[in-house]
Amino acid sequence: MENQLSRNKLDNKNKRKIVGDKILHAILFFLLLLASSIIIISVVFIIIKGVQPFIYNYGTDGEILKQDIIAFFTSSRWTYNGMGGVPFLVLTTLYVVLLSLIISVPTSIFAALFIAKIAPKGLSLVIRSAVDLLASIPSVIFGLFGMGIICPMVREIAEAFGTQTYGGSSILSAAIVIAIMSIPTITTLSISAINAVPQSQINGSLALGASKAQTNLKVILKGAKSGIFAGIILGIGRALGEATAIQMVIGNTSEGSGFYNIFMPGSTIASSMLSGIGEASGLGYDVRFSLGIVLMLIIIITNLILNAIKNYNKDKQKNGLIKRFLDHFRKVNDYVQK
Amino acid sequence: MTMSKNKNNKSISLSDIVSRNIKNRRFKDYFTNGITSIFSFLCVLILALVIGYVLIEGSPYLTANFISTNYAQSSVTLKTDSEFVLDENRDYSDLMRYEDTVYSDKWGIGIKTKKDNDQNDIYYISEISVNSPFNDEIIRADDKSIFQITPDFYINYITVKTSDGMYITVFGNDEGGAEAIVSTLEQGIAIQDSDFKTLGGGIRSSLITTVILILFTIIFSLPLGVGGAIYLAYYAKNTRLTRILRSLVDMSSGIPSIIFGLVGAAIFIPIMSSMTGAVGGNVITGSLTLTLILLPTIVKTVEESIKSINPSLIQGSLALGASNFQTIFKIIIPNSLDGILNAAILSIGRAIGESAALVFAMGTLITAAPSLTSSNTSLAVHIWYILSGEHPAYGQACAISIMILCVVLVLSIISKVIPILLNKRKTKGVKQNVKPIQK
Repeated sequence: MENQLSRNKLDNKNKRKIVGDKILHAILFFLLLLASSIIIISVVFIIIKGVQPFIYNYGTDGEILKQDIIAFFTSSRWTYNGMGGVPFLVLTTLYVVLLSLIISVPTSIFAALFIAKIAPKGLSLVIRSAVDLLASIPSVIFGLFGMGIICPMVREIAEAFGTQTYGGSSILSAAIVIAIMSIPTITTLSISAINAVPQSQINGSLALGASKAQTNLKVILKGAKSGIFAGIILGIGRALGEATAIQMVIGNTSEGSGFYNIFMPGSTIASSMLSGIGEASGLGYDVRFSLGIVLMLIIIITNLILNAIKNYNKDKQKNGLIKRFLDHFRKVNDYVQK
Repeated sequence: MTMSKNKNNKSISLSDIVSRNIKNRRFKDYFTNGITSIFSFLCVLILALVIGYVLIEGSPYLTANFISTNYAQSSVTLKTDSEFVLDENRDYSDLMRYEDTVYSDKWGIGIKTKKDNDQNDIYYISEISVNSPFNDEIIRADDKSIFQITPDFYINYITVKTSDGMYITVFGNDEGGAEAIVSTLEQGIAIQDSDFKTLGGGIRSSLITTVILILFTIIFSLPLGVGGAIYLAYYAKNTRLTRILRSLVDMSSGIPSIIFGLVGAAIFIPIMSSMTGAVGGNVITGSLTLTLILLPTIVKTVEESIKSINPSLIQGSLALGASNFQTIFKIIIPNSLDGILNAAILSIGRAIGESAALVFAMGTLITAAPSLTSSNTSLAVHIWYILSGEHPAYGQACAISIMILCVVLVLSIISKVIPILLNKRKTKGVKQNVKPIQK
């Protein structure tokens, strides 16, 4: 009798355990669904809200006020009153990011090489920590730094070239700020890519008589190429979407004219989403969602193109590396035979 | 082969070539090492420049006043009643007569100097005698109510009426300072007009809002992220569904924060306003938006940490008859504490530094009294706001930046130290449990 009772108790306990497990399982699954549905919800909401300015009438008193769809794709002037066009914003965005890469890519790659392979341990730890700290500084502080230091610097440079700037707020300033912000990202990924190059390759290169510099540049950097490229892709993604820091230093013009001149002010997509937000309402507010769609499209397209290039290079590299190795071997053989 | 023939013809020995080659290579080595070191010191230089600029510009502004005052300035216009005439024989013996205070024996007040948030001298009434007309005979110009002046208000200007019917005005920013104000007051028999202001430009409300924002962000994002991570690491089998879910989580880390700001504004602000009647963004919509940004990162961080747990611990727990529930709460969560703490640190860092998303989701209005249902600013948005006006306030922005940088520095030190401590314990425990098999 007693035995029966305790078994019942045990059964009940087990049942409760199983039910508890099932509930927890369901809850955790729901949480995962929530985390993974964020991107879908975001895209859907941005599209719904971003299409509104083209469809709804924001005007009062019988006026018609909506975003002109033809102007949106053709006008070279960006305004918030329904007649603005994005081409100049898109071009400036890409231009700024491209300029920033000129600064950030060499800096990051060489810094990563120095940290991972050349510097003594203590020094490399110090520089590594500095890069990590640089990565954790919020973008608004980079914007402040840009306004306080880089804009005056750019103004001086422009004066040396004999051109005027609007207090230094220019495309060049934005590119420098963005470069500074993307250096930590590219450097960190490059370091791990460099560390992933197999030691046997490095040893092989050194044993074949290559100097350390030759090994660093021709074996390690070549071997880490795809990893470094992945870092650059990530850096570009960050740079395309950066709003605050750019908005603070780029000058926020609506005209598309002088965008090829690096000393002229401009506007990127993200910066024009942000500028004047305090007073925005109605169409002026909702049209920022339309810009959001454009920004997402550009990020997706850029990523696709860059990834395609990366994969193409990877396929080529396989042949290239072996071929080059054989070439190298042949040359060394020739040298020894002499 | 033609090359070597040429060389032989010029009769250069092999050792010559080698030694020249070695010299050449050594120079090349130094050259490339030099270039790489220059570029990496550039990174350090940039960091030093950013920190140095912020410290030098901001440190004079980082005062107790700056932290404790609100951004918004309130002002009050005071005067005496039209029939008021100051009688000479009042008893002001209760004044404390401090050395650094200038006293007006006619009006029974003491005026002191302090610095405002822009490092200018300002003058305020620090002491009022019991019998002073400033106690109960000064009225507000707008609604004629009696106004008790407090040390929070500083003097903008005072216009007094003299006994021969003249008006004299003294401004708070005049050359003479407190003495000039007192000497003007001494000549007057009534106050025709005066303006007092509270100190503005402080960050009190933004600071409080930031703390609330951090708290809410952790409350919202940690349980959600840890839950999702546990499912991915513990329950999820390698099915098509989980692969899709995982790649969706991965993808959302590539979306820029300003897009999340728009999404947060489009989803949470309408929901909040229908629930509480609040108009526009507030702290809660801000922290929900930050949760959107952070959730994928937290899921990834915690999942990595759970995967690094020694599987024998989990298997042992299950073999001893513990349910999944017990295993999760007794084994997985305590052992992935380093990942969870890292996620918390990430959340704090993001909540402090994020600006673009919060501009949309929380608003840009710097309010005097932080509240849960009205538009507020965090410290980062505060910086953005005071720099985007006509006259950017660099000093104050740098002062706020110093505070943010301090927090960021402390967080990054914690994030490096705590995992090491926790991991040491973790591996120690495992080592003790697993005994080597003896032959």
